[in-house]
Order: sequence, then structure tokens, then C-alpha cells
Amino acid sequence: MSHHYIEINELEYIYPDGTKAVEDVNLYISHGESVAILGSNGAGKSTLIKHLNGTILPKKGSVNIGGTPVTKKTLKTIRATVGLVFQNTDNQLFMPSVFENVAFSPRNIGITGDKLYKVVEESLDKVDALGLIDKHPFKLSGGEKRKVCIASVIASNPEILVLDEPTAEIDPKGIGDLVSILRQFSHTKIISSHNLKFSRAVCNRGVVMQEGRIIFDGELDEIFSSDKLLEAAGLKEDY
Amino acid sequence: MKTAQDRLQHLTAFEELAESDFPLNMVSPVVKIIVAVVFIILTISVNKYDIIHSLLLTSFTCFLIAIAPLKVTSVLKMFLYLSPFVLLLVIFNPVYDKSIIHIAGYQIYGGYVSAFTTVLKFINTTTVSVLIVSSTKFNHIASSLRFFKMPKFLIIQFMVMYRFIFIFLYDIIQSLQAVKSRGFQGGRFSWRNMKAIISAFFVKSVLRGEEVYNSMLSRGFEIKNFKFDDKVKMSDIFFGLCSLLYVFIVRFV
Amino acid sequence: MHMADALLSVPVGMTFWGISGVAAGYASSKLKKDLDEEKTIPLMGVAGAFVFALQMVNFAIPATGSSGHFAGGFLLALLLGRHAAFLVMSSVLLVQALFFADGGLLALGCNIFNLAFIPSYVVYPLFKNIIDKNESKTAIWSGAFLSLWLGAVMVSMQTGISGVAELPFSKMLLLMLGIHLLISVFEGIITVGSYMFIKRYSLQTELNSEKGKLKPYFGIFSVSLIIAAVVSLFASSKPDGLEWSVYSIMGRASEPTSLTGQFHNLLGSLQDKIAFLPDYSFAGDSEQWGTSVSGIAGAVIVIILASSLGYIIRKANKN
Repeated sequence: MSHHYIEINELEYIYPDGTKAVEDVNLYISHGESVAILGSNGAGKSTLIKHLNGTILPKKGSVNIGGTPVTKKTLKTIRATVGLVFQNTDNQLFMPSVFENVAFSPRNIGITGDKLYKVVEESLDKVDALGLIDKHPFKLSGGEKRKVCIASVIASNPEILVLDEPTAEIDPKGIGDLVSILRQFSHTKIISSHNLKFSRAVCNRGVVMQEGRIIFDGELDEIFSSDKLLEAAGLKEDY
Repeated sequence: MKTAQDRLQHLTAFEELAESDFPLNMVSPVVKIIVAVVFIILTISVNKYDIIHSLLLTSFTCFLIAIAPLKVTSVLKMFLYLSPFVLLLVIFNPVYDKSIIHIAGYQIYGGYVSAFTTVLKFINTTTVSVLIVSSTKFNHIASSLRFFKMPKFLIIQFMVMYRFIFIFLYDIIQSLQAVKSRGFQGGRFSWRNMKAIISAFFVKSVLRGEEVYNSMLSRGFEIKNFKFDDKVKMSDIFFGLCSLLYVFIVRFV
Repeated sequence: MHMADALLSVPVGMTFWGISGVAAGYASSKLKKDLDEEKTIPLMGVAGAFVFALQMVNFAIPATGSSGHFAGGFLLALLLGRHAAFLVMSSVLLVQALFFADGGLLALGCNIFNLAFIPSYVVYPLFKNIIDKNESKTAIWSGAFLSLWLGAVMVSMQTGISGVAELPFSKMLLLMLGIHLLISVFEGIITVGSYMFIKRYSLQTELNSEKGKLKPYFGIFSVSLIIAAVVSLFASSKPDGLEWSVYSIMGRASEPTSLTGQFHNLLGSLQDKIAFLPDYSFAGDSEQWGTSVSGIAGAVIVIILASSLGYIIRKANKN
């Protein structure tokens, strides 16, 4: 599996209480692309995102990563390929130190000793957070937490990086840092956001969701220039 | 009284100790647990008037202290904190047991002797168990439970719970700080507040629990990964056999 | 409230480990059947951490100078059903035993029985039907109160039968029950309050999957058994400690009448057959070389030697 593409076919997911979160979603993302998933809250972005590493399994339709379908049996390989950074940072920093959090993932692959240290340091370096290595995650700022979360995920070297609302809880400077970090990554990137400016800085392709469906899939610039699209996606800053 | 802060520090300290490279840390967790359990059983089985055997078994404890990461001062501190209950009960021994024992020509109430040995037993059993745990990484402890036939899902639950404890303790510290800063009228206990805090905390936690668990799974968390590093080494078996032999000899000599 | 190893005797410890082990196996197999791994595991983990955190809340007991804390066994049973509650509580006790030496490893079997088995399998079935029907606060309170109090009774029994502490069973029982009276009252109050609040939030996840009526027979049976044991332990007219000493001085001329005495007698005769059991020799024995001065001195020397050996190994390991 050297070139990982993502193929989603007729995906549908319904929550236990009957809400259709995702409906009839078809998407193809090739290796190396940077795609922004846009839409207002409740549009289905998070639900879609969570399918990408099998946190949620499809009720109908399928999700394929590099030809491997996402099923209960393939979760291990999928998760080694797709790294998912969830929205809530606190819930991902469950180990008592930054080092431990970043080391969690490579440890699970079997990396130990000096090599482990190297991997952790490299990952933190890539997100410009090496100085935080011994800190307690509870004492970090929003931006720092986000960086450590990203480091924790890239530490296991996934080919595909998925981020769910990475700009939540971060100040504008922090967002700027995040942009420069992400731009350096060569992974295939899928980022869900309702921050248009951020998305534009990091991605070139945009997928707009509304009420669980994809209503647009194309150049990000097109979205920016269409008031109708912006409004339909609840992204128009109109105050 | 142990506050949330104390407990968090305690757990964190244990994690750090387990990472150090003292001789006891190198031994396989399964061997350590077996030795500890056998030791405890043999220690408990000593007659309550038998000072000699109690002391002899203490020698093994001292040996372990020397090769374990826990400092002697810490051991003493733990003992001081834990002993009240045992002391409370054992204080009464001399009162109720007035049988006579001869030591070095003196006559002592049996109660004093049994109180002494009981305290010794207490020191031995708790110290050995703490030493074993402080010299073993948590993941290794958890996976050695597998060796003792604990069901997989239970072990996973145990590991998840352990991680949650850290998160919760920290949360509680935060909440308590927030509550205190809102004025609690001299720290008096408000039942209504307690109930509300507790229940809100629980509901939040359940919702949060699934998310934390999902992020653990996403980063490859799997029980299979936590086997202790290699099969039991020759040195482990050597340590185990020697320890067991020593303890048995010392107990029954 | 958590038993320590030093106060137990090996047979008592092993017996309760046996009971707890069997119960754990039973609970696991029951739970495994409808286990939704993705939901149940984190839920159990959360519940365990929650109870652990709650147990740190200490409340001072007036006039005794000591304090008690919340246990949570009954609340867990209400929230998770008895099997999950039993396993979760056992996990919490395991963490406490391992990392805080709160209760010894041998005593863990007893602690699991007292704090997990009793609320989940003995008391909960007695009250479940009532609580399901009309969520009676009194029922909830009583369940929690009874769980803790029965636990205290069991602690006294386990300590008493072990025979390490000389305090007579009657006095010990009174002491335990007295201390735990107020604690149990508070346990009940907190359980009621928490349960009511949590129910109000009505979580989407169906926490307690146990529907239908639970037959209370086992619960009634166990409680009766416990009460019977307590009464018989009380029954002898002399305090047990004294009786036992009398019995030993007489050299087994008269049979003990109390339960403790009979238990010791049984074990004493078993000891003749199985050398590994605790040594039930008497204080007045002539063979009391367990207290000879030379022996004691020798033991101290061994301690010093063992410590030195360990120290040498540690230094050698550093290089």
C-alpha cells in the first residue's frame, strides 16, 4: 500500500436516535491532497471524519483506504495508516506527561528505548513543541495542547493525517503557527473546519457539507467567491 | 488524609519509579508477583508468638528494599500513614492476652509479643507488595494479570480505568479550587453541593469516557501490545527460585 | 475499612479469595455475553475511576476523631447492574491494594467480598425490585446503608476468626459497627442523592441492562447466614479471647463452644495432618523457642546480612 487514496462510496450513517448524520456521501481523495471539509456545526463533518479511521463504522456504503475497506477486522492496519486528531484536546492527552502522550502511539507499534526517544523528540520538533516534552499536559495552553495532540498522532508515521476542527480553542497567533506546521507536512491531509481563512491557507480543495450531504466539491477559491455557497454552508460571516 | 493532590502525586511518583533501572525493575513481573504472594502467605502463617521467624522474614524485606527503587524513608512514611488501623486493633492484644511468655529470663504478656509480631508482619507484607509494584511498569502489571488468567476485556477495562483516574484526579483538583474560590463559608460541608458536583461529574465523565477511549484506540491501543518485553529470562528464574528457596528456608528452619 | 494482610490468617484469606475468584469468573461470563466492547469497557473504566475519585471525599465523624469515606458499591450496582458493578468495584480495590497498599494482596479477597460482593450480590437483589417499582429513596438509602454495615460485620468476622488480634469478637464487632454507623448513614445519603441526580440526566446509554425481577433468595440466605454466624460468635458467655486461652491451658480437655473456638479446634487438628497451615501452638508451650534470645539475635544478624547483600547488588547494578 504505497499510494493511499481514500474512496468513500454512498456512505450513510444514522445515529441511534434516528438523526441522519451523513447521507449518500461519495468522495475520492488522492495521495498527497489537502482537502478541507467545510460546513456549519451539525453538518456532518465530524461524523464523516470519524469514519476515516474506523472510530465510526458505516451503516451503509463503504470507506476504502488504499484499497482496504474499513471494517472491524482491518482497524489495526487502517489506524496505522490514518492518524486522526480529534477535536477535544483534553480527551486525547490522557497520559501524565507530554512525553508519555507522544510515546503512546509508537509504543503500541513496538518501538522502545532510544529509538522511542528519538521518535518522540522528532515528532515534537516537527510541531515546534520540543520544549514542552516534560510538561504536564494539563498545564498547557490551547495552542500547545493542539500541537502536542498532532505530535502524538504523527509519531506513528501515518500516511494520512485527519484533523477535526483543529482551530477550536486557539488564538489567531496559534492558528498562524498551526498553518506553518501543517504546510510542511507531506501527508495527505483532510481537515474539517468552519474557519475559512485557515482552510484556505492549508488546503486547495474544499468539500462543503450541509445537513449530512456534500453540496460542493472543488477548488476552495470557488467557495470563497460564491456567496450562495458560503451561505448555504453557514460560513458567511455576516455580523 | 490523602487529598486528590496527594493521590495524583503518589500515582505519578510510582510511574516514575517504575521507569528507573534498579535491579528489581529488571525482573519479570510475573516472577515478582509470585514471589510476593508466596512471601505474604508464608509471613502470615507465622505463629503470632514467633518473633524469630517474623524477624527472619523481615530480612527478605530488607533485601528487597535495597534492590528496589523506593527509598527507605518513603517506606517508613507509607507505614506511618497506613498503620493506624492495625495499631488500633493490636493495641488491645496485651489487654486480652495475658498468657505468660519467657524471654531472656523475663516474663512478658503474650499480648505484647503478638502485637509486635503482628506489626512486623504488617510491615513485611505491605512493604513487599509496594516494592513489587513500584518497580514494575503499569503496562507490565496489567499484562501479567493475563498470565493469571484474568479475562481480556477486564484487563483492558482496568487499564482504561487507571488512565481515567489520572484525568479525574486532575479534574477534581480543578473543581475543588474553583469551588473554594467561590467561598465555602469556612470550608463547611454542603450536602447539596456535594450531590450536585458528584452527579454532574459522573455524567460528564461518561460522555467523556467514550471519547478518551476512542482516542486511545485510534492510537493503536491493544492489549496484545503490552506483553512484558520478552519471555521470562534465565536471570528471572534464578531470582525467583533463589527468593522462594530463601523464604521457605527462613520460614521453616 | 480495608482489611490488612497482617490481621488475617491464611485459611481465612484463601477462603475469601476463593469466593471472590469464583464470583469474578461468574460475573465475567455473565457480562461477556452481552458485552458491547466499545461502550461497556469505557463505561466500566469511567465508573471505576469515578468511584475511586469519590472515595477520596472524607467526612469527619464527630466524637471519634476519625473519618470515613464513601464506598460506592451499592451505587455502582444501581447504575451498572450487579455483574458489572462487582467487577468494577473489584478493579478499584485492586488499584488501591497495588498502588496505595490500602488493603493487602492476601486481604484483597476479603475486601472484594466485603465491598463488592455484598453490595452487588447480597444486598442489591433484596432491594432491586422495590427500587425499580417506585424509586423509593428509603429503599436506596437502606440498600447502601446495609451494604456498608454488613461489610463492617464481615470485617469483624474475618478478623475475629483469624485470631491474630486478641480483641474479642464481641468488642470488635461493637467497635466496627459503631465506627461505621455514621459512615453508613452518609453512604446512604450520598448514594440516594447521586442516583437521583444521575437519573435526571437520563443518559442515552442504557446503563443498567438488568431488567426483570431478581429473586432475592440468595441475598436473604446470605444475610441470614451472616446473622447466624454473628449470633453464635456472640453466644459464648465468656469473651472469646479468654475462652481460647482457658481452652489452651486445659490442654484440649474441654471443647470450645463458640464458633471461633470450634474453628480454631478444627484447624488445630488439621494442622497435625498438613504441616503447611499456620502454626496454632499455644503461648504456654514449652517448645517456645520462637522467643529465645539467641534465636532473636541470630535473626537480627540475618537481617543485616540480607540488607548488605541487597545493597551490594544495587551498587553492582549501577556500574
